[in-house]
Amino acid sequence: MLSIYPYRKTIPLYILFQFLSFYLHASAGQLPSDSNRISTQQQALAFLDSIDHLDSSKYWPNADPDLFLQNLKTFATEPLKFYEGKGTNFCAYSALTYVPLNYDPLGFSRFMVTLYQKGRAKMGRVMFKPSAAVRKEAGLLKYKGALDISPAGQIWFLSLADHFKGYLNFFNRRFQPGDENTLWASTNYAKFNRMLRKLFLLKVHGHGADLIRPWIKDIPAYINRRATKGPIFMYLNNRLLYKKRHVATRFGIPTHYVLLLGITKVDNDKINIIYWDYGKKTLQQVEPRLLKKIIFGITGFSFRKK
Amino acid sequence: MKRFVYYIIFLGSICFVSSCSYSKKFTENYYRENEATIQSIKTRFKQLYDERPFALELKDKALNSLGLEIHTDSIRYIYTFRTDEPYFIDTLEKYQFDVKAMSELINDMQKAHCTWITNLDYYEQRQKKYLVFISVRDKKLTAFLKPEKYFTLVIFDQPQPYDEKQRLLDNEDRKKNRLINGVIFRKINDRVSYALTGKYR
Repeated sequence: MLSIYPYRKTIPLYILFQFLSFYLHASAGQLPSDSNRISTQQQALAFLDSIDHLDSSKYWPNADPDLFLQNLKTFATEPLKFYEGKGTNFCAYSALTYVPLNYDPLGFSRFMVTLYQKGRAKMGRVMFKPSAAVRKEAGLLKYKGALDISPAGQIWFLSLADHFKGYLNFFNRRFQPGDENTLWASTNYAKFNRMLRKLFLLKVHGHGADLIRPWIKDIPAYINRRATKGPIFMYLNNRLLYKKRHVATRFGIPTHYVLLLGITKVDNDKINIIYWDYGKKTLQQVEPRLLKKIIFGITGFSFRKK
Repeated sequence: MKRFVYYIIFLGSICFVSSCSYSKKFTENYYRENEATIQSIKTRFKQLYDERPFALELKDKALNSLGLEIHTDSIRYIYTFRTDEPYFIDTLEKYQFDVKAMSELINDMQKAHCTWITNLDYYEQRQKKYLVFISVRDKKLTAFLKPEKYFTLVIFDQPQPYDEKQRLLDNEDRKKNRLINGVIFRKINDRVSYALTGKYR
């Protein structure tokens, strides 16, 4: 049983955490690639406000137009609240959405409105023409938390999963209801990097693989060096980082993508990582050994010269 | 040879029967025996949660290692402590938790073998609502040749609809079963449902 110990003056962990969260807030506005912003939140909002009324779309019969427009406004103003839904395999799509929401919110809003109105739209080098099954399902996904009331998020995720295919999707290529939780929506590492390249025309630098961990001696130093050029995505074994069962995982495979926002070594030989997933930033302290074990891919990107 | 095959089939049947039998007995008895503690856990958790949103995990079998998730509007902090570590109390005080109430909550969780408690959001008529989600880890739920199971309880604020098989229904569409973490839950009473799941959160 727990007893309340007398208060002892220690160097509490929260000081480190508070310091890091302050650091995070302070540095968020100074990402090295901010100069590459194509449009601003205000421009996106002005565009969305200029749309007085959006008619129901024959292409997306179950996506409510008012809620859709409201979702787009929220994406533009609060990009880090973008949420992939509980229990889905949409984490990769959610992680890469950071790029358009952060660097070109106006372009993303325009793309989404076109996709809604015309049932097809182009982003980067990709022409999206979502299948009828996917178009019918968007707006109907349920029991996924805040994704339930985000038809715009559902349209975006389902369109991405419908268009991009990797070897994990080989045996399940056609959407059936419920496939948002299955291999149909999964993303292998090469597919993730390919999506970044094709959608946002970035120079993508991936280090890792689906089954073999990258050999990096000093992960924080390596990542911090790479982060000077732009944001970093990590491909992780989430079963170790965020346990849901009390079993020792024997065969570790990566299953989750996050956007890394900061990594630092702390005094007690641990490493603090700050990452973004499920619509929130998370600050977590991990052992260096665990960090080495969970990272299967580190992807950075830089912008092509205009 | 024939005798050997019979022998294998016999052994297999015993394993199968013994591995299937644990869950029914446990679900029948657990809530009845621990109802007061579970209700106390729920009340304390909700009081503490209203002041500062959090989720709590008892990580190990001895229920002495703690995982604490503190949620703010923009960031989630994940801490790991042992219950005998002073850092734990320091952190609770810093985040202005009621330390006594939190300790009582942990004691209750240890008593009822709860491994995880959180508030889960769900949506009805586009309105956000919450339910209390509790996972119980008990050695009675482990069986030979079977992966560990968790007895998960969800506690609603309002009475919920159920079908004739006592399965939880969707309030908005009563022809459909409501899924929580992808699982169908069954009735304990009109506000409390349970499921045996492979994951505790």
